[in-house]
Amino acid sequence: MARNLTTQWNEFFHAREVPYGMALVRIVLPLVLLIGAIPRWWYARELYSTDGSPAPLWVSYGADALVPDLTAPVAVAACSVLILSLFAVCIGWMTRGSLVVSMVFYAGLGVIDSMSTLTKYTVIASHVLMLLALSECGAVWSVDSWLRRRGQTSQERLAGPPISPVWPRRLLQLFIGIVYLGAAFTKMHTPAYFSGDQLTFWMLGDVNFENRFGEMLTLYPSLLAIMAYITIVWEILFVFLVWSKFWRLPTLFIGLVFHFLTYFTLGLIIFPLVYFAIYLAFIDQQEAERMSMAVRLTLRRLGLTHKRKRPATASSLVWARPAYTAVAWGMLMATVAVIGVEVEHHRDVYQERGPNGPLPLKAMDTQVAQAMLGPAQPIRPQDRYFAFDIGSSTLGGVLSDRRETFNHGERALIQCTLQPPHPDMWVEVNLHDADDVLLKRVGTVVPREDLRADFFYDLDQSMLPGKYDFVLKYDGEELTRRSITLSGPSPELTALR
Amino acid sequence: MKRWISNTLIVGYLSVLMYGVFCHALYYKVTQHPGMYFIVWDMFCGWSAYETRTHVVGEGASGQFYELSPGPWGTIKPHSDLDRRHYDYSGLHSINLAMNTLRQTEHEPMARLYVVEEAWPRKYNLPDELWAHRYTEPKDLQSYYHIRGTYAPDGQPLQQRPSLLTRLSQESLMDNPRLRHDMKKGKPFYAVDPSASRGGVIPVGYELPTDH
Repeated sequence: MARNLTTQWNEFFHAREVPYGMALVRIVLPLVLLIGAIPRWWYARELYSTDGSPAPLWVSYGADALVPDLTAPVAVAACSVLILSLFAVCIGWMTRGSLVVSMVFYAGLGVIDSMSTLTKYTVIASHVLMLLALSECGAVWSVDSWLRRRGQTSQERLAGPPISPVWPRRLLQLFIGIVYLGAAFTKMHTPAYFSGDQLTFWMLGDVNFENRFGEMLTLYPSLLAIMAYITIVWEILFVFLVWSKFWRLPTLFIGLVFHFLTYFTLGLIIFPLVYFAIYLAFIDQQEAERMSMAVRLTLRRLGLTHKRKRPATASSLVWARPAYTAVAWGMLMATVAVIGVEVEHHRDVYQERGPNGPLPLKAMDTQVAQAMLGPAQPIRPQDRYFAFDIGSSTLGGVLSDRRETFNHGERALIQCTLQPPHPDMWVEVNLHDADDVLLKRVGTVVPREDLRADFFYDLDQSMLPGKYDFVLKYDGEELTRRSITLSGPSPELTALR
Repeated sequence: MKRWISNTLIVGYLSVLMYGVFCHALYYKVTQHPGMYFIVWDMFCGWSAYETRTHVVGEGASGQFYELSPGPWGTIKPHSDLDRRHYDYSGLHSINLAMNTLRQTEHEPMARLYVVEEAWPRKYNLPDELWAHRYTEPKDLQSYYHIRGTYAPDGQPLQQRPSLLTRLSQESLMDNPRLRHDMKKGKPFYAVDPSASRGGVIPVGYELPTDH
């Protein structure tokens, strides 16, 4: 038994492979991270230095400083080196060193600015950079491998690409699954997640990029409830199913679709791109070789390849020796840091040294300021409710259809969703006829912990065909109304038959 | 790498990850150390029915009000079209934005600094065509303003308040004469909030008299 487990452990973690999957992650992930890192260089002084307004993570935790205070030149140098090291990781130049530098500066700058740099994708990327640093991801498709080949004899080259243990890739795959598991626990802690309310309000939020599709989906709350259940089941099962030959592709496909949709539904950009990059760790050696062959064949058919030159021998390339490369890498990092500091200094981000500097403050309109600083305004009654819908069936606790026409004998379900936080409320849904005459009154108490109140009206033969209004009232005031049309034979005609 | 070293790394790393999941699942020491942020996966953990924005306002000695964030040189828009100040959900860092702007600009002496929260129901974020699908009444957005903090010109807090939504929740709870009466039997006590970087003081509970 123990021997069997040991064998399985060794097969799972210590099998050897050409690290194509990790190399792909190494190439793509830094490009994604540069999307966020480059714009922040312009504001490095403000975001990360004592000459700006950093927002350290440890303040929120009431803990001691994790990172020493950075002066402006140090912060700018760190940002510059981070950008260069991410680029070096991408091309695989001094790969391990570049990965360590990237990870330290990426996480370090993140914790200094928890307001606008640190997010969960920053954390995920920091983990992945660390796992890449533990791997041999620079052994293939990299400047390092190109330089190494130049130092090899023709016999050594025949041995093929270097192989290494698979455990860093396995840890990355497990990391992805464990993050999903943690995300599933978050959802379990949020009761409003299962009714789709949490998703609804996230999709209506404007704190990320435009998400018109998400806003449209909020019109279909039952669909969101279904999506909520599918997502949580998939998040829990991911770490178990992704190893199965049968379930691997569907599980990964759902994951890709899920992250792709977060752009359209939540307006996320870098987060899904980070996941697309790290999903490349699921590509194993055989798949990578097949894909590589297919790409080469395609390029050859298109006439875009040229015959490979025989690499120069080691003796002709003294500068390609590891020691020279390391020195060149270190000097380039230092040079970029110095240039970055100098350029940023001349940029004069606060415009203090220019002809008009220091800049004056921007004056505010006094009326606007007084509105902001005046007494608190009570919440208007119409802002107490979020939605008022009429339908005939529910799914996941929310209306699954919205209807405007009903037939005799049907039951109209009326759902009033409130805007939390709200007080304990007495809410009425009254039935009015086409002449706005009150026909029926129904009311209920909605305690502060409830999000919605459900009502129903049986549309029986006592009601004439025609137009009716359901009127939502709170505190004696009409908040809104919805019209329905009742169709079918009138009671008189029925009696004549 | 030697097998025992890699095995130690594998077991150690997976243990740390699973500890994070355990703490998160059972609410165990999740805020004990900033490092927990790196192993607790609570993405999209909260939600709000209100859209919120942050305004950082300075009141000059002359009575003129000034916008203290973004600074007059502009700012980064980190995750959308919104600038940085709007991502200070805790309200802990906005005063730092004000202090930096004051340091880097020319201005009259300040009398007071304010951090103001603006909020409106998120239903008003629906574009007009989708609003017409769901609502019969015209779109009538009104912002609610709430002062989160008042500060002296040197950034020292004079008054700090919880967010607007916390205030609304508390008002709902306190709208109960019996509860208010019971609370009068006690007296409030104050404690230094360790999460407030500038020594902010907030009420955390009520101490009851022991002489029944």
